[in-house]
Amino acid sequence: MVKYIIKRLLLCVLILFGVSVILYLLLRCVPGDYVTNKFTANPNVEMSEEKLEAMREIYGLNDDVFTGYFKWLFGNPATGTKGAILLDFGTSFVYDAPVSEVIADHMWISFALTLLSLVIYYPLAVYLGTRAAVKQYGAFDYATTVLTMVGISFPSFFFSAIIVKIFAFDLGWFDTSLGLNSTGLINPSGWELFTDTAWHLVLPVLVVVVLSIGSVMRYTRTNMLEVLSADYIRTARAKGLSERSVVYKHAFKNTMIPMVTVLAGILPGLFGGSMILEDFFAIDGIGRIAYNAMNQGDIPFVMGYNMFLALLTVIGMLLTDIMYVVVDPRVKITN
Amino acid sequence: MSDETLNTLPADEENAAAENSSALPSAVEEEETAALAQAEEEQPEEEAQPLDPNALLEVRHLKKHFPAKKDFFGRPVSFLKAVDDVSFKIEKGTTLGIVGESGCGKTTLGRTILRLQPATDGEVYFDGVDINKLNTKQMNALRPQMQIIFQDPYSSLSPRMPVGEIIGEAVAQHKLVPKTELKEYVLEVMKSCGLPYHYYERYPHEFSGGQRQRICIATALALKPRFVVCDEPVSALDVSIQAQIINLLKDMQEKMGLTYIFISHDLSVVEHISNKVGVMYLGSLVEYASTGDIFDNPMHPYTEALFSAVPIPDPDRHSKRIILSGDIPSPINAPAGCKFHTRCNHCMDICREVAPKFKDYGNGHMVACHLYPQD
Repeated sequence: MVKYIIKRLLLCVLILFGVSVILYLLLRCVPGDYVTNKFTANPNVEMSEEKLEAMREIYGLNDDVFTGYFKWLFGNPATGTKGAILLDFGTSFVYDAPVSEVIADHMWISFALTLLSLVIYYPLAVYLGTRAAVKQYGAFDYATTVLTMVGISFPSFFFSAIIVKIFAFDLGWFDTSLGLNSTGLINPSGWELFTDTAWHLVLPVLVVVVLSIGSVMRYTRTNMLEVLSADYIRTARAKGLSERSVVYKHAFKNTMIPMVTVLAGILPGLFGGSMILEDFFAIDGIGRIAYNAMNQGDIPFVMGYNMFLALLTVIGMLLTDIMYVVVDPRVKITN
Repeated sequence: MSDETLNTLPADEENAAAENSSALPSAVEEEETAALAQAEEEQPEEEAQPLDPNALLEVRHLKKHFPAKKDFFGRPVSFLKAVDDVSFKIEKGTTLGIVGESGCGKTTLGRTILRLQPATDGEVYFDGVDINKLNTKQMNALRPQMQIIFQDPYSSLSPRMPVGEIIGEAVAQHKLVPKTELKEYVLEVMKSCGLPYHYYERYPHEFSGGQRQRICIATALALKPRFVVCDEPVSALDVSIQAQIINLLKDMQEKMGLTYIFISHDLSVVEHISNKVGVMYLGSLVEYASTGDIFDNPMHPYTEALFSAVPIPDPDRHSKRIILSGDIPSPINAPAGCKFHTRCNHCMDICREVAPKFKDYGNGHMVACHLYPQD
């Protein structure tokens, strides 16, 4: 088992290397660089071509792709970075701070938002999916299917807009200025701050719940249906077990096996934030930060952020495999 | 095996059998007991028939129809008649073998008898009680007494439960033994089914087919049943294991006084284990007699053809194979008259129009065929 995990971790390093190469190539293909964007966008400030060139030199944008990648990976003595290989992703152009620090600062806001939504929608989706499967083709099944399909089909910006229009503007229940706190809050006590933040989180969480519940619910329903038609469920019924015991003990236990994959796949999303949603609701999570950085050509940050996501993804995959061993007695890891 | 248990079906039942076969069912799957009770009222003469006190299980005009085609509003317009008006009874401690081609409704019959699927019509009396009239709670309470062993031992065990739990679970739920003695009891059942005690903590996937089938048998027998449906319990196993499992079933029958329905397409196995044999064709019984009678003197042309296919282990003897022409017709549009007439070598004009009566021709040998006098 330990040997297997070490082997997998080494493979992860290889995957991350490949990801970084592709990412860097793509980023350097993007037209317009940070310096051009920042200093030529404002017509009031005249920058000479020499000055711009000097700035580009400082930001390392004059290096060719290979030198640039090499410097990113192994560090640049001129700027004092140690390189991504030692987990130093350099300094963000836009935020003027080490990339890892910026990520660490904003990650937890996204994490809190996503975790809160997850805690609400995951059990709910599993419950709805199970109920729908038990009464397949019943009214409940059709109703949940239609509603969750509507949820899946909405683009997040569109649904957010509708929600904000109805609940914030028309009904006036929520603050229309969005963000995580009210603008008028001066020297709030801890409790005030907490309730204020909680109140501001309601709409974004609602959007995430509605958008995410469908896929998990459908997945649960499909798996549950498959398990419910299995022979051992008939055996359980023939034994005279109660319906509750049949559904929740026999069927549900076996449904959990594929459900684990879904849960582990959520890991990158948990820390990675949601660009569109956070931007719409003006929440300073990692998604919004990355969105801004991307728009302005902040190469170190975008590289760092995406490597962070890639790392979470490969760890999620590894966790899935390990979880399989835990939940399915048939799976054993051998070398 | 007791040979003195040959008995006769009441001859009056046949008339109703032939007439009911064409009637459309009044109940669909979901509406179980209510619709059945209604169908009951329409035939009050059924109630009057006394139950045979020697029979543990009595099946009367059992039907199981699946909706095959539905119209725009979801109402069924045609039915697959998997079990179509089957009546028989089984005495305590005996074995009834049910044989027939695949797709003839053997398995559906077994499952409908145990109400694993709601019956479309008909009665199943277990120890004098019509189980189709029981509510879910009463039925669950009765279930330990009527168990089933499925064909496929690979899929009929939950992969996430250790063997001890699989066997002991229902025992605990029905409180058949005190909690403190549960493990001991399960180990005892396992031992009697040839499973060593250290299998208790293991998971089903660690076992071979034969061992898995032993687990299935132990699971069924741990509930101290009186009646067990063995639904092709050996057809997924290789021949050497088949014999072991058959012998285990026979041993347990002697020990516990069990009553079996043994569903199989393997005639030699059925001959070995059964006291009586019923031959099914397209959802109906075409012949029913004691094992000796039916193997020595098969009366129905279908039975004859079926039994002629059994290989004789003697190179010098030539078996007279009767080759049936054509395929088994679809049970959705079963042929009119005698269902077998499309493939019968003795087909007469009357066979195409009138369904033959299921009649006793002495010694409880019942046949539905126009070759024999119908009056």
